[in-house]
Amino acid sequence: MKRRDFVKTGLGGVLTILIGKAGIAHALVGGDAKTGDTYDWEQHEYAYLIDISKCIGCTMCVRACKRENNVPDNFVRTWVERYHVLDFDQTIVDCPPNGGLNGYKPLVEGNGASKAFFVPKMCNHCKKSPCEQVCPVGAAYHTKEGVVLVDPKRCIGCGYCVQACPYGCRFLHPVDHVASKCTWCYHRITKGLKPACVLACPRGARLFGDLKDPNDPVRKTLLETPVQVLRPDLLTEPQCFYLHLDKEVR
Amino acid sequence: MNDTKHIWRLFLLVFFGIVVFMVGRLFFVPKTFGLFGHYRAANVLEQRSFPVVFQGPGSCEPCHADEFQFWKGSAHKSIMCEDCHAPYGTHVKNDDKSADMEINRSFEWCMRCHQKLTARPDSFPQVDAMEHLAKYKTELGDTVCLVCHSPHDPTPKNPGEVKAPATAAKEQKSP
Repeated sequence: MKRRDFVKTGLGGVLTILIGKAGIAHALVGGDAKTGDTYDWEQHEYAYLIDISKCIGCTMCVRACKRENNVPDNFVRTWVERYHVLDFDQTIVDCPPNGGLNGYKPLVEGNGASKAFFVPKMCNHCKKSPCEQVCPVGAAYHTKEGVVLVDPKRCIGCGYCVQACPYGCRFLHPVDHVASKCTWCYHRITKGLKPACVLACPRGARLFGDLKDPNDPVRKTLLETPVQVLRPDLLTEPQCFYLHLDKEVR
Repeated sequence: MNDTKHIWRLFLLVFFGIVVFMVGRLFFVPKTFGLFGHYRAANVLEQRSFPVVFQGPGSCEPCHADEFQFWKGSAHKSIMCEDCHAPYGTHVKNDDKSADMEINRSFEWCMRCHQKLTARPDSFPQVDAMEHLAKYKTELGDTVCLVCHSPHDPTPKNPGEVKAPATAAKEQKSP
């Protein structure tokens, strides 16, 4: 290779990298001329609201999530737990390994419960997410809209994040051998659609909203109604909020 | 000035090390890594490009307008079509019917939401199946719910009037 060619190739490479970077930065703020996609990730901040008192435990959400995101068998990205409170210090927690995918059947010993309810759970997309902090390769990250994602090409499948998540929301994909979890259906919400679980819920127990939209009903509820999060003592600042959450739920 | 020679050697060695590091970095660090933070920015666009599976009830309306209106005025209007049927893509490809839509008429399917459970909110309509069937003198069968209730509009039009299972099933097939 002549010196001139070497310099040319080198400069070309550097330029491609710079243009590639600029192109992606441009596409993310809604300036992708090729696709005509005007979605700007700086204009959104998402939050999720779950109303326990509305949930009937039909687990349509679990089923829809599986189909939307092609979640492997025996793993779930969202699941529904069942609680029967019989007395003080006597709570039956029903948390089947398949997340209740096929619906719930009556629980005989739960008939005498003083209170009972279903609790849908999923990734909380914590603002201070432990999973992101422990990732050694920068595969777990936050988008500007507040969504925690996993880059399957960066992930080395070490499983630190699976252990770090206090909510048990992550798992190692049995085929890809990388960490996997709820993305709030990032491919849907960036097109203005609702996550599959929200769409599938027949009771409106699951709501998804944009905190940067002044007319958003979820934003309104979060501002005007007392809401709870799971494990607030861990200071992870979850972005999944709960209405009518009971103290028994961990 | 011979006594400074080793300093220059050291300097060259360090310089060489830096160059190797920088060149190596070009190859090993992904192009868009660190653009917005400690991650690969290109992955954000990759995540956005996944196919949308559930298209929502609006996608069914163009072909099934009558059924859509029927469902829209019913107590089941909050359940999207694809919940009980299947995702749009299993039935339609390139704006044309590609396969029959899944139809689940089973007793188990109705019970998934309407089985009486302690944990369900009281305001939600639930039945103890055996009690309910005994009341209307009907026997348990695979599609027994459809004898009186249409899934698209579950409120019985003539409460108390029980159709023969065969007639009801026929009506269900040709709405």
